[in-house]
Amino acid sequence: MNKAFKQVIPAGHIHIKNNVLEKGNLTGISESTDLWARDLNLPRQAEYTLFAGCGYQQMKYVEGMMGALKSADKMGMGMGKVVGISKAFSKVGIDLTNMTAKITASKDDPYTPVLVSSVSVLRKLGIEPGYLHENEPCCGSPMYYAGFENDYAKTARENYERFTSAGVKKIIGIVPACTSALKNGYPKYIEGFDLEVYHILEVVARLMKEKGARATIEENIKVTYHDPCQLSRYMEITEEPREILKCIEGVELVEPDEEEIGRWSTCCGGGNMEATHPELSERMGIRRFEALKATGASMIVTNCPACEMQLSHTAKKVDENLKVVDIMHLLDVALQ
Amino acid sequence: MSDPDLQQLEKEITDNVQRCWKCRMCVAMCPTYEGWFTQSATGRLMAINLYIKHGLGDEKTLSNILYSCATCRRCQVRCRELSTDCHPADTILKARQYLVRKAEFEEGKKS
Amino acid sequence: MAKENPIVTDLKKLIGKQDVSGEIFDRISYGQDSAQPDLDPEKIPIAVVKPRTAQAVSAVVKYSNENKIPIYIHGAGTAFKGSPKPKRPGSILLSTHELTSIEAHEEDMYYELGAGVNLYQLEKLLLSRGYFLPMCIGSKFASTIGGAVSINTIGHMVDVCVGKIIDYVMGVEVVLPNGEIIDTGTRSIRRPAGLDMTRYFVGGEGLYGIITKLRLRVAPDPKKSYVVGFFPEMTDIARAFQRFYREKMPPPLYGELLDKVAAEAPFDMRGLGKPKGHMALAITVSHSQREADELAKRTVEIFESENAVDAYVVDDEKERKDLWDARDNILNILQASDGDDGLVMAGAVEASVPLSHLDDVLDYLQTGHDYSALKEARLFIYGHIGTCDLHGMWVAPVSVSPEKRSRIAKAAIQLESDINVMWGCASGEVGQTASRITFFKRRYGAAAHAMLMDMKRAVDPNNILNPGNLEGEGYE
Repeated sequence: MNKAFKQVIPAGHIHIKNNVLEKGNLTGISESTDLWARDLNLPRQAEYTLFAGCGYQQMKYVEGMMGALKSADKMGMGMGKVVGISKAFSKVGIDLTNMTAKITASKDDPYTPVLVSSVSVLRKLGIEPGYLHENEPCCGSPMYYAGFENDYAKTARENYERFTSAGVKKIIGIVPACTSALKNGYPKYIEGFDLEVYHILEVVARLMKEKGARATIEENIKVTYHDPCQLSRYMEITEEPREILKCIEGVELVEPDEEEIGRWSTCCGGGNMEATHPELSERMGIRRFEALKATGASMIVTNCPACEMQLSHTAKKVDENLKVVDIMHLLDVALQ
Repeated sequence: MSDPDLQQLEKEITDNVQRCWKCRMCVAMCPTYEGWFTQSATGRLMAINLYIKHGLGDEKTLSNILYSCATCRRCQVRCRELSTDCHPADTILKARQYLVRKAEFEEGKKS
Repeated sequence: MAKENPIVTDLKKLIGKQDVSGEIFDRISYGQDSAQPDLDPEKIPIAVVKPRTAQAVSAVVKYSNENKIPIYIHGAGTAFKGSPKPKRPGSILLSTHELTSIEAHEEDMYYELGAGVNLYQLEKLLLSRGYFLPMCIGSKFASTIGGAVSINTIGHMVDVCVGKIIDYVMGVEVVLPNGEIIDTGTRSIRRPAGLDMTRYFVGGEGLYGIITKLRLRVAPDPKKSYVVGFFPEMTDIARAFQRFYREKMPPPLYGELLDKVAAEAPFDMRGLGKPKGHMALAITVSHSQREADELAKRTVEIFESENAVDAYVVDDEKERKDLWDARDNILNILQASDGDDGLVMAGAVEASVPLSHLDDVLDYLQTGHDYSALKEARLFIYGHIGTCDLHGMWVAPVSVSPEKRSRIAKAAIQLESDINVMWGCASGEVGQTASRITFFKRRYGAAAHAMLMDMKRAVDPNNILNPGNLEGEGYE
C-alpha cells in the first residue's frame, strides 16, 4: 500500500501516519508520554482533563530528527530513502528512529516546560486538572491533513471510547491542532459526541477576568503576538490571548498590520510543512518573522509547538535577539 | 468498475470548484504564493478540477501542488467575507483525500 | 515527464527561466477566467510568462510576432466579459504581475506605476499620502492598474463624479505589436489636446499594445458623507436619483442600488438582519466637510420624499463598513442558497441607460424581455443607479447542467445587447470586445466594426495581441 501512496503523498505524511497508527505518537518514539508530569501529582480523573498532546513533548526529538533529515537531504538522500533505511534496520531489530532521536535530541528543550507552566497557571487560577498519563492517545490530526480520512475517523472513534471509559467529560487542550481536532474534527465522525472541549486560552482568559487576577513581570518588554492558524481560524480564538497579554503589567503589545493579525494572521509555515516542503517552509517562516520583527518587539509570544519551533529556527537565521516565548510560560512567570 | 466513495468525492470537489468565481482574491492571501497562481487556493482548485474532469496533468505535479498548501485556511476566511464562500481550503483537503482514496483503489484493483 | 515545448525553451532563454512556465497546471490557472465555468482544454496556453521589465515584454512580443504566436495579456485576468480568456490555441499568456515599480513624483503631482501594481495596494498608498484612487472596483484586491486602465474602467459611478481614469493618465509606456517601446502623453498635469496616443491604449483593451508603465495624476482625497435609504420599490430609487440631477446637485461619488432579495445573504453574513427594502447608498463629496454633510442631508430629504421607509446619514463606522461591504462584495450574493445547493452566476448584464429611462429598464430586466432561459433563473439586481447603470445577475444552482448554464449566459449577452441598442448606450464599466462584439455590431453597424478591424490590422498585421477579442470569437 505504501508503494501506491509514495507516488502521490509526500513521504513525511506517510511516515507520520505510520507512526501514529503503529506507535501512537508523531515521531514513533517509544517513550512514556507522561515523563513531563512525573512530579506534578496530576490525578487520573477530575472535572477537567488536560490533553497535553504529542507536540510539546516531542518537539525536541522532531528538531533533532529534522536536522538529521536536512543533512541527509543535502547528501542527496531524500526522506523516502531515510525512512527506507530505518525500516531496513528495524527488520534486524535495531530501532534506528529511537536511537537517532535520543542521540540528536536537543539538549535545549523549551517545549516540554510549557506543559508544566500550563498546569501551574491552571492551578494558580483554581483548577486542579486531571491527566490520562500514559493512557493519553495521539489525537491523530496529522492524518486528517494528509488525506487519510478513514484512518483518522477510526482513530477518532477509538480515542473517544478511551476517553469515555476513563470517565473524561471536559477536556482542556494545549496544542492548538489537537484541541481543534477534538473540538471540531471528532464530532463529524462520532455520533452523539458529548465531550466539552476547550482550549486552555479560553479557560485562562475567562478565569483571569472572573478572578480579577493580577500579573506582572519585572522589566518592561515589548511583545508581539503571533496567531497560530489552528487557533485563529479553525477555532476562532483571537481575542483571548490578547486580553491575557494586556492584563500583564510590564508587557506592551505591539502588532503587525491589522490585515496580518487575528483571523488574517499569516501562516508561519511550521508544522507538517517543515517536513514535507522544507525550502518553502523556510521562506514562509522568514516572511512571517520579518513582519513580526518590524513591530519593534523584543519578544514573539505564541501558543503552538510548531510555530515556536519554526519561528525560533528562523530567529537563528535572521535575528537571534528576537526571542520566541510561549504565552503559558510568560503567564506562569507573571501570574501571582 | 468504480468506487462510489471516489465518485462522491469527485462530485463534491468539482461542485465546489464550480462555485469558485476565479475572482483571485485568495491569491494575495496565500502564504505560499510566490508569483504563480498554482501557489494559491484558486490555482490548486483548478488543478484538481481539470485533473478530474479531463485527466489533464500528472499525479506527481498535482500532488506537489496540493500538498504544498499549508492548510492555514486564510483563503477560506477571505472567500467567505468577500466572495462566494466556495470553501477552498476544505476542498483542497478533500482533494488530498481523493488522491489517497484513488491510490488505495488502484492498489486494490491490482491485488 | 513530457518533453518541454520548444517555444517554452525559447522563452526561457529570452527572459529567464524563473519568469516562464510550461507546466500544465500553471497554464490552466492562467487560461481560465471568471466568465465561464470551465476552460476549453484545446485553448490552454502553451506558456505563461511574467516579464519583469518593458524590455522583457518587448522581447516576448518580438518573438511572438516573428513566429505568429498569439499573446493574451493579463493583469489579474478578472474581467467579466470574456476578454482575458485565450480564444485561439497555442497562445502565450503574458501576465503583467511582475511589473510592479512605483515611483513617486509628488512635486509634479503624479506617480509612475508599473502595469502590474495591485489596485488595493495603490489605494492604500495614495490614501496614506492624502490622495485618493479615483476608482471603486470590487475586484481591487486582485486587479491591477494596467488592467483597469486598459479597459478605462473605474467602477461604480465614480466617473460621473470625478472623471474616468483616462483623465488621470498623463501618459503610458507601451510595447507595440512589433516589439517597439514607445512613450506617450506628457509629464504635465495638463493632458495634450489633439492627437494623444495615450487614448489608443487607455481603453484599448490590449488590442494595439501592451501597457507596461503609466503616469497617474494624483487628486486630493475629498471629504465624504454617507447616506443609506431603504425603499419599497426600485423605481422609487430611480426617481430619487433622477431628482438629484434635475435639481442640479453635483453627482455623488457613489450612488448604488442593491435589491432586497440580493441583499439578504450579504446582510445575514454581517448580522444586519433582514433588509427593510431595496437599498440605496450614496456618498456625497466636496472639498469641505460642511458641504458634503449638507449634500448628504439633502439626499436624505430626497430619499424620504420618494417613499423611503428609512433614510439616514450613516455615522457609525462599523455600520458603514458593513452596509458598504454588503453592496461592494457582490459575490457574497452567491452565498444565498437554493435549498441544499449552492449558487453560481450563470448570466450577467450591465445595462447603462439614459437617465429618463431608468424605470423602463428596470421593468425590461425583470419582465419585459422574452428570454425564457432568463425567466426560469433567479434574478438579482444591483448597480450604479446614480449613473444610470444597472447590473442583472441570473443565478442557477451549482448542479445546473453545462448546457442550461450556457443557454442562460448566451441569453444574458443578447439581453444586454438588446438594452444597449434599444436605448442607444454602450455600458460604462465592462469593455466592448469578446462577448460584447454582438452588441457592438448591432449598435454601430458593420462599417464601424470593419473600421476597427482595419485599424487593428494596420497596427498588428499578424494579429498577435488578444486575437479573437475584436472578432468576437467564441460568442457568435
